[in-house]
Amino acid sequence: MTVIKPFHLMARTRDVLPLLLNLPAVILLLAFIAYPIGISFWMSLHRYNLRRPDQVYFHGLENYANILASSEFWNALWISLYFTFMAVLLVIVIAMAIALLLHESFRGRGVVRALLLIPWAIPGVVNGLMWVGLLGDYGAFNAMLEDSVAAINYLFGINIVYTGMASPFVALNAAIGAHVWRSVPFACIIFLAAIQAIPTEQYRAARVDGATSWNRFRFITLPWLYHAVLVVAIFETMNGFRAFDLIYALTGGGPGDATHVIAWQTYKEAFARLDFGGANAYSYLITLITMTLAIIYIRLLYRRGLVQG
Amino acid sequence: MARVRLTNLTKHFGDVVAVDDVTLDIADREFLTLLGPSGCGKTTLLNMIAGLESPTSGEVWFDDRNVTAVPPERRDIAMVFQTYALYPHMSVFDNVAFGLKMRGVPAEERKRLVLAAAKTMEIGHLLDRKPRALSGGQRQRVALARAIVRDPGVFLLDEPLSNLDAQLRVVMRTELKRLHGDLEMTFVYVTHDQAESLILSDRIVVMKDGKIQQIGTPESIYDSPANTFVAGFVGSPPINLLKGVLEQSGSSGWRVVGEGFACEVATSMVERMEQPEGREVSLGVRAEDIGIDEAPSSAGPATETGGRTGNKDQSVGRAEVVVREPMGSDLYLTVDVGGTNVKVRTRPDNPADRGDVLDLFFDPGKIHLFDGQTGESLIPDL
Repeated sequence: MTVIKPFHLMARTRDVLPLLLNLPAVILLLAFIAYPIGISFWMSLHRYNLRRPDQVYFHGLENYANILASSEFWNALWISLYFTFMAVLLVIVIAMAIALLLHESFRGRGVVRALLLIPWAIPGVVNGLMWVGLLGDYGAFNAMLEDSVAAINYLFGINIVYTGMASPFVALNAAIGAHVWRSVPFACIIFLAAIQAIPTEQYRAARVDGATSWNRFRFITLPWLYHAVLVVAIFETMNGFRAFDLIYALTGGGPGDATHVIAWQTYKEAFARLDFGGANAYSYLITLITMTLAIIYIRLLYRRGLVQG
Repeated sequence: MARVRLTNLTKHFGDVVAVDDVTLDIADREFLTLLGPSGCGKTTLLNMIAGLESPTSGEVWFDDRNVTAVPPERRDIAMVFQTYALYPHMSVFDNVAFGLKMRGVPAEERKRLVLAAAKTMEIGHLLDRKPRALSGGQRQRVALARAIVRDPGVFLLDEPLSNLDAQLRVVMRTELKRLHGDLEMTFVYVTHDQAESLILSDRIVVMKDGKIQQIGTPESIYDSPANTFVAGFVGSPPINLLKGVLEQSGSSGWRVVGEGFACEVATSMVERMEQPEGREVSLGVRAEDIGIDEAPSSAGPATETGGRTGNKDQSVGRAEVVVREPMGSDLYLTVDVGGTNVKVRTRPDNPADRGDVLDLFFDPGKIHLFDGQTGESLIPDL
């Protein structure tokens, strides 16, 4: 038995050492990711309102039930769905168009590619404030929009009243525009990388086969980009549902509840109503929705065989 | 059906001249190969015939039609690429049908044509698969089917066999030759593989640095190379080149004398030269045109070697064997002639081995003379 012991110890060391080396990372992950996720879920199952700090107690799924029963939630969900749908659509279309342009070789392409990244580097709040400047009462965009509306009114003999950011329609779509402006660069980089990976012989073969430039895009470029589109769609869906900093700075959720996206609603629950239980429940609902959408995307594209596993 | 004519075709990429003043007449239904090392401009030339590259100057004619400015889709061509360039997201059927679809061929007709092409290329059982589920040889067949399905006048092939393994390459080579026999199309074939070009072609165009070096049948390219480049590029192993000087031998004969050898040459080769005496030349002789003394280092009579009878009087020199390479049906010996390695092909049962010293005999009818400076052939055109 004495002979076996050292071996036994060695085996132990071999098992323990990797764990030991991973421990710092594991502790950090547990402390900063797993614990907040866990505690947040736990809080979402409690009545936990700072206005009544003495009345913290477990009440199961009641927060969720309350949220699902509230018209505020459904309003916020619809606004978020519209916001996200428009954002994903616009980001994909615009980013792909820009990526296709930047794939062509022209003078100063490197500079333009670098410039493209600037919006991406701007923090959401700063982006929001910038658009406040552009779309505010004295903003350039605001003036342009006002003039355009006046021109349309004149041309078609109609009477649209332009109220700028005081209009729910303008405010929501302006928020979408600002969000898209900031999101396009990232998507564009992904598309550009994917476009560059398409072998040029594919296009040569397609040209010999008689494909017009539209058909080359339709039958060669687009299928080669399905994977990139999927990645961008998932990212942008998540970003769209979580959009908050921009809205905080640009519209403050207004006018009225026009830009009460679901993330804003979460914020309101936590920091206006001080209902931490309800806010955590909101957070979980957002997570659930984005995950569901991501799974649907992946399922759809995989099933159609467009993405190679 | 199409005759292809290229007139003074030139292509510059910036400062690089990829194709330099190429004039070429390709007959209808000919199998023409553009042969040369990588970077010689053969693919650029093919792309200009296809219309994928526009020439800097010069013209491309298909029959009586100037197609220089015509885009590829409106030239009557099909092309097979080195990487096959199959569309990965389409089934084999859709890959083959794509060109027909783009040209607005009705679905029924499309199906009929695809099935016919698939039958020709024996890929009927693969039509539902995606390209990634195919082997290299099957992909090659699909690429060929995609090209022939439109029944083009000119069939362009850009190194179509170079991505295949050695065995498959031999099979597909035969297949291509059969295809050319069956189809009434002009084939323009680009390769860097001289063996492929010799086997497949009606005529070969040897290119280097964007310029045509020689145009001719495989036999004439092999037997009468226009310069040392062609001589060295076509044939395996490459031709042996020995530096030497022409000098008079005896009363009327001439010979080339160099380090470690002296070789008689026919007077007919020399008589039209200006100032042959003392002229620097390269003497070219192929491995199979060299005979060796079969009894190494012995004073015995010369014997039959390499299919020819050697005679001690005609020995061009003695050389030491450096490497012995048996190849099954043949034996290759590398011998050292005055510091130059010379390959000799002989019978596999020849016992000569490393260190043996042998007499060499050059077949006088098969030697080539090139200018020592320019490398141009000194043998008058026949």
